[in-house]
Amino acid sequence: MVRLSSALLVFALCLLPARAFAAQAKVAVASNFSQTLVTIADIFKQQTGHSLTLVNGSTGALFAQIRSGAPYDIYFAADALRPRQLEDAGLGYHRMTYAIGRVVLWMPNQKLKADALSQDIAAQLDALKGRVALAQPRLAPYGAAARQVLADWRFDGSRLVYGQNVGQTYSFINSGNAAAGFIAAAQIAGQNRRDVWPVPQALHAPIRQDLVILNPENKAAAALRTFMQSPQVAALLEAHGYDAVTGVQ
Amino acid sequence: MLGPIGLTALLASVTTALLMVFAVPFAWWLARTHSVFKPILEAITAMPLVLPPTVLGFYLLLLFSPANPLGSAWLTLTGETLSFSFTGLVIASMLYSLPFAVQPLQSAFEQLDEAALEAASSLGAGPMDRLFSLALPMARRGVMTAAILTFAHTVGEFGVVLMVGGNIPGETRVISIAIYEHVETLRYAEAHQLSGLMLVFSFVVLMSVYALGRKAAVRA
Repeated sequence: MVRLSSALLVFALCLLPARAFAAQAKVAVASNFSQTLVTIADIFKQQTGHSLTLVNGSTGALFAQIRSGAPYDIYFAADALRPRQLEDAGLGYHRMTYAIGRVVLWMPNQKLKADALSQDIAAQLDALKGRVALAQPRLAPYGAAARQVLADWRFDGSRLVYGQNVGQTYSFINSGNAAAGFIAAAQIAGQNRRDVWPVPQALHAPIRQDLVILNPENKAAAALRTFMQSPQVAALLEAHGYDAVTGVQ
Repeated sequence: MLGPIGLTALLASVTTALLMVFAVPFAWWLARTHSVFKPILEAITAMPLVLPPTVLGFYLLLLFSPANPLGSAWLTLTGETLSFSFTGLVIASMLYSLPFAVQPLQSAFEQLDEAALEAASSLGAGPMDRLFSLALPMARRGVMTAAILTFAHTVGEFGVVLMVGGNIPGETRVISIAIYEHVETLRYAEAHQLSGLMLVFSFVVLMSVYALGRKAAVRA
């Protein structure tokens, strides 16, 4: 046993020099962005050697954890508000918008035209039987955007059901428990679905997704922030259902 | 509309009442049977004790879905889904609290005085008669313990409700969910109020269970 573990130790030590410049970062990421960030993390690791550990949750939930001292190195929120609050509180640094989120309305098994008029979609949703899911507006910016749209449509509030984040909202709809719902375009990107309606950005306040560095000492976090501004990531964001951020902040 | 406290109390009461109706004859049968199915049923009954609530929540979410037979039958019958409904929470809570109802009852029934039961039997009392007119009164502390623990455990439910409830005020937004949300939105004052209440409640409940047990021991 002792011999085996010392052999392993020697082996591990041999690996060290090669990875001497590679750092590790714990990333708190809003649920809507976690799938996209998994893809980005792979490329990031190949190109820089830095590895990321992702922790996902709703923007509000992660924010509360960070305020209570959770040991994350960088925070990818789904809004601009909470990163700014962290900056104001002296807990965050180098805030930057990394993507603009897009909301979609998903009605499984219904045919929806991408260019359908808002009021037609509203009528179709009204006529649909069953619950309509959205993420808890107080916790999740996508939920807040969805609520703006629903309020505009004067949709019956008693038919709404709330997920803790867009991830749970997706599973409510996907499992058939909710008949329809508002999720992030990123969650169904690349699926070419015909039962999805992209919510026009004019119907809700823009979802500016900001990141903020929490641990300025962490090299991987700083490198990731730079990497997020690369053209490579911009293309990837578009493919994943986000609008990339163009121009200077 | 019911607030989280009223809703939780209602959920725990309904769950306890329904579960006791099922658990009393079931525990009675378990206590007396020598069937080969006994260990299987005992294991199934105890499973909610060791399973993560998320496992139960996940399977219930699938079971309740209108894409599956139970969920779709319910939807046709009532016009609403089992998930996100009070009824759904009652079903989930009954599964979740099952061992807390059955186990105290079963052990109370197992400790009953055999001689008295046999005497009743020889006087012509059938099994159900013996249960209601003899065993239940004799095992009343076990019954009380089962009811109190079921109630308290249902009040403390969180993971399952989080997964199948959908956080609807007055319908599925119970105390534990409300606390979770208050904490996540940094409304600590509200979280404190509800959490403090739960702390006192669970202490009082457990103290009364232990006090019951003590009385029983003194009598014996």
